Amino acid sequence: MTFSSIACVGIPFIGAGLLRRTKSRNATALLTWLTTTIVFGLSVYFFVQTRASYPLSDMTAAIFSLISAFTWWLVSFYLPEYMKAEERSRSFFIFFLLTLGAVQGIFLANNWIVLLAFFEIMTVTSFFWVIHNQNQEAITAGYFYLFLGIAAGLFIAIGLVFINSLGLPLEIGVNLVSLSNSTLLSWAIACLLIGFGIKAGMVPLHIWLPKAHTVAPTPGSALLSGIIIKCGVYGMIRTAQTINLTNPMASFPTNTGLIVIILGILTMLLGVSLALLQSNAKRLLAYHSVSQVGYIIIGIGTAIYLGNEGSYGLAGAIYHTINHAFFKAALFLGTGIIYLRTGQQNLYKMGGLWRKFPITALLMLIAVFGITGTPGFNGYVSKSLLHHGIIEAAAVGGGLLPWIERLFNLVGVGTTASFAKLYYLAFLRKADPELEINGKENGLLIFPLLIFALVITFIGIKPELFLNKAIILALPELGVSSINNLLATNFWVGREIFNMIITLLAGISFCAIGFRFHLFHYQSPAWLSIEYLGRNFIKGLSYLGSLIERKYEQAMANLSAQAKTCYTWILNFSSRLDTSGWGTSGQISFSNINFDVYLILIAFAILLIYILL
Amino acid sequence: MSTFNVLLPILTGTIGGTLIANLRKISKNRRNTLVLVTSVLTALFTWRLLPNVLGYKSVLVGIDEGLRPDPLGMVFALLSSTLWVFATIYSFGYMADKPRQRSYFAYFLISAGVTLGIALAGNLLVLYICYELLTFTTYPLVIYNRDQEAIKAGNRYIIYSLIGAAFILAGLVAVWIWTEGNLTFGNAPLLANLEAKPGMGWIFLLFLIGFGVKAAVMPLHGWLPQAMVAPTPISALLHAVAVVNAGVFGLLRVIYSVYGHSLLSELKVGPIALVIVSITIIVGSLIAMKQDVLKKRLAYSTISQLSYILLGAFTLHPIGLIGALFQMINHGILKITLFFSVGLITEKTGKVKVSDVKGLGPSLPLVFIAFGIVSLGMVGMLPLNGFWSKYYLMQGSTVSGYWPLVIVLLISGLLNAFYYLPIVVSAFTKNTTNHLQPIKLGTNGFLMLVPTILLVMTALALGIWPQLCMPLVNSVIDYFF
Repeated sequence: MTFSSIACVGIPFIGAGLLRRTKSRNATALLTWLTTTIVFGLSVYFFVQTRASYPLSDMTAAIFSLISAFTWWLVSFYLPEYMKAEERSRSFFIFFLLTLGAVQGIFLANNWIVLLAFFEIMTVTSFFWVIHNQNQEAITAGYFYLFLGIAAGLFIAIGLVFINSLGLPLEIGVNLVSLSNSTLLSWAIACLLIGFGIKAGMVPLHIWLPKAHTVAPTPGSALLSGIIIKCGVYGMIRTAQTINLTNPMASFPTNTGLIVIILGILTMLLGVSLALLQSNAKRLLAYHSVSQVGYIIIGIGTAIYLGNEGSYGLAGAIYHTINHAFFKAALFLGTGIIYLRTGQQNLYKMGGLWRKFPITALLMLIAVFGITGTPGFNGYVSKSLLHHGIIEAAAVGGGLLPWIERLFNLVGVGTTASFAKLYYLAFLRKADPELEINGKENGLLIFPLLIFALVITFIGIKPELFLNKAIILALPELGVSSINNLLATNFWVGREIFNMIITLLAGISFCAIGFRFHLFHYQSPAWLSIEYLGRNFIKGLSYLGSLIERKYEQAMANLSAQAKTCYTWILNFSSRLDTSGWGTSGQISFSNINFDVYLILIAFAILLIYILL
Repeated sequence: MSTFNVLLPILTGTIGGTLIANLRKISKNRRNTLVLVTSVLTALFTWRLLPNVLGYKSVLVGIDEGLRPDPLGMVFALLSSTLWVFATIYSFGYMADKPRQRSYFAYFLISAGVTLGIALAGNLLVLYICYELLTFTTYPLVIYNRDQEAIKAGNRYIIYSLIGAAFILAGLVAVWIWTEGNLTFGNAPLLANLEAKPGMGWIFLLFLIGFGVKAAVMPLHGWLPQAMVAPTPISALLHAVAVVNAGVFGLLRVIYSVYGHSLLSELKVGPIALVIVSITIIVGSLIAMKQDVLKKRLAYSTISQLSYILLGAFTLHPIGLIGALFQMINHGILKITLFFSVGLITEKTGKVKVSDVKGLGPSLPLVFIAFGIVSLGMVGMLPLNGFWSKYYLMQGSTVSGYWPLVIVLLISGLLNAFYYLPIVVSAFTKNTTNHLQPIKLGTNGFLMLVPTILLVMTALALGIWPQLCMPLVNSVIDYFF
């Protein structure tokens, strides 16, 4: 814990406290911007400091902290302009800063308990982004977000309890598998993966993600998708670290790795295939978050699977986390500009927007190049690293893994197709005559997009810079020490580029076929969805509760009626026996007392007799 | 420690209460001052016992061993006497314009003394007598409203409690026979030197039923939701902290001071009791989900949460016991805060139902924020203290080998979220039907708000620094294990 890391966490909370006192909208915006700027500056300082003291310090934390502070800083330019259209903007600003503090806390924590505490705070504060609009849809999405977030916290807590029960330390960065190899530890790791997987949007626990991303105000969606789900990814990377990565091909890491890879590919496939069917721009982007997180999960999975040799997978996962933050935030912010000026999120009602928003169209095109993995943009870099990783895993493991490599390419095609669809429907196609456009692009709205686009292109052109200066330094402490291959990686291999271009062309033609044959309008039946099951499960539970209560009250009423009958009968009987006339008990009225307990007394008497005998 | 010191907190409460009962012509302000002084003094006198108990090497003496503070008793005594002070301040606000204040405050204080009697009891007989007394001194508080519903609830309360007490008496006699007249709690459990007999298990069942009534173990919980007709501070204090905890505390005493953990694990009552307790936890939460009346929802939540304490205790493992004690403290603090907030809502807006609080958030922001924070604690989220009790309970169940209990706790945590959080969320959502202005709290509202906020802060502090409770909790563990 250095001063700068504590300040990174503390300053947003102080800023949020001060925001309650600001007088005007401008002051609020300025204070928010100032706070994020300070945090960004501090995190840069922290990053530089960490690099200087390498290898003693924690590079992973520094990278994640830097990326989140950077994204937040850029969004804080965009936020005031966007929030002019929304009600209660002050509360959004407050939660914007609070969540920044919590996220920094997650990344800079050196202890699982502290991490969990900030994780819970982050869940609660970002929940207010989701319900900001307060309509029915937002509230429903908010409940999904909150309950699954709480479930995530509980699962993580259980994982920590298991680790602690084995007498293992709760410091982050300890290779636990080398200390103990009981089944309880594998349960602990499973619980941690489930908990962080919920936040990351891993299938089948992703159900909150598309809902929440769609209803939140756009800056919120951009950060939810760019950074918040990366908190889950960060946790998964840290969990991978607890598995002894330096000891390859032991059965436990291999099995865990395989499961994680399969979950990753399922996440990719489901995300991308649902994304193809969406007509709402933000929902489409949200499903792509699910699918892109699948890429990252596959990278983590190959790292666990290959142990010490898994440098490509792990580096690819971290790199893709960063890249996804940039291009997805840019895409959301671009969609936000269109929504702000046209009030429209439905892709089929947009069209021809490149005339009105030329700069947005250009910058979003760069982001689209990024997410589809076009060579020369950042997505290509991390996707080829991940691809390398999966090929290596397939070479070692065989079995299912070669198939997963093919599916991996297929997802690339799907991604391209759905972004070709988005871009065509929104920008290129002829304009819908009913579309109303009020206002134009605006410097403050464009600025973050511009920076993101520059970064996307820069990483695409000089991928080695950030890889060698930061990510590779983080690998040894995460347990992957054979990094020489990675240092010598050449991204400009003809075959790789050719592969990617084939994928892009396949995607675009698939999109064309889709439009031709109306494939993008398929609706799956409601009962198939997980949220349907979930909601009915909760309804069923509460019904069960009320049923039990009713039955209990009924049983008690019956019991008391029976007891009263019994009591009267005994009273009558004993008064008949009574000849001396002392028995005036019949005149004492017990009628106002509930004699439901008479039977218990009898049971007690029987019990006593039983014991005595 | 002199005898008098141990007797002092109990006497302060009971004498203060009796005094209030007999001062008919005193002005309201003077009476309130007297009540406040009495309850603060009671708490202070209890806290004064703490240093001696922490290093329990010093000889603990009492009136013929009748009163004898040990670490376990101290946990309960400190918790209830401290929360009583908060409830006293809250009561001043709540009761300000209500009738029958004299009898209210009199029984309120006497109950404080009697609860401390249970906590500081040095033998089973004194414990039993105080336990019975608590029923009688709290009965007038339950039927405070004097209407049909209150009388009915009071009847149910008193019948359940008295029959439960009869079971305890039977168990007490059996223990008395076995130990040849020795009922004094000590370092070693009462039955430590005896061989396990099959009858012991049955007698334990008697204790379980007897104390289980007040601890609201299902199916003996019927009185608790009904008793919520009492004024809110009473529901808060008696039915979420003192009375129900008295039942739980009695069971802890029976488990650790009368039977002892080694004898009980020999008798194999642990698994059976754990099943009952788990059912109570889950079913209590399930029923709470459908309750529309705020206080009833809290009542069923209490039923479920109390069984957490028993769950920890029945694992018969030191870490489980740590969890149980944390849960006793944390649940007390959290639940009393929830009741305080509900009382404020009901007093200021007249709404008693969950479905009616929609959109009320902006008119009572602090109250609903307090409610929200505390319900997150109930769910078991950091940085609230509720997390730590769950944490240690889960750890206790894992270490002692009862790992399915972890699943019970997980489900219950989720159910807690399902029935608490919608209240807060709906309070802060738009309500188009009625636009409410911010409500002025006034002096009375302020008196009610201050303890609520202070307790929220306490919950946060104990969540961030759980080690604050650790010296006392650890000394309980040292004492019994």
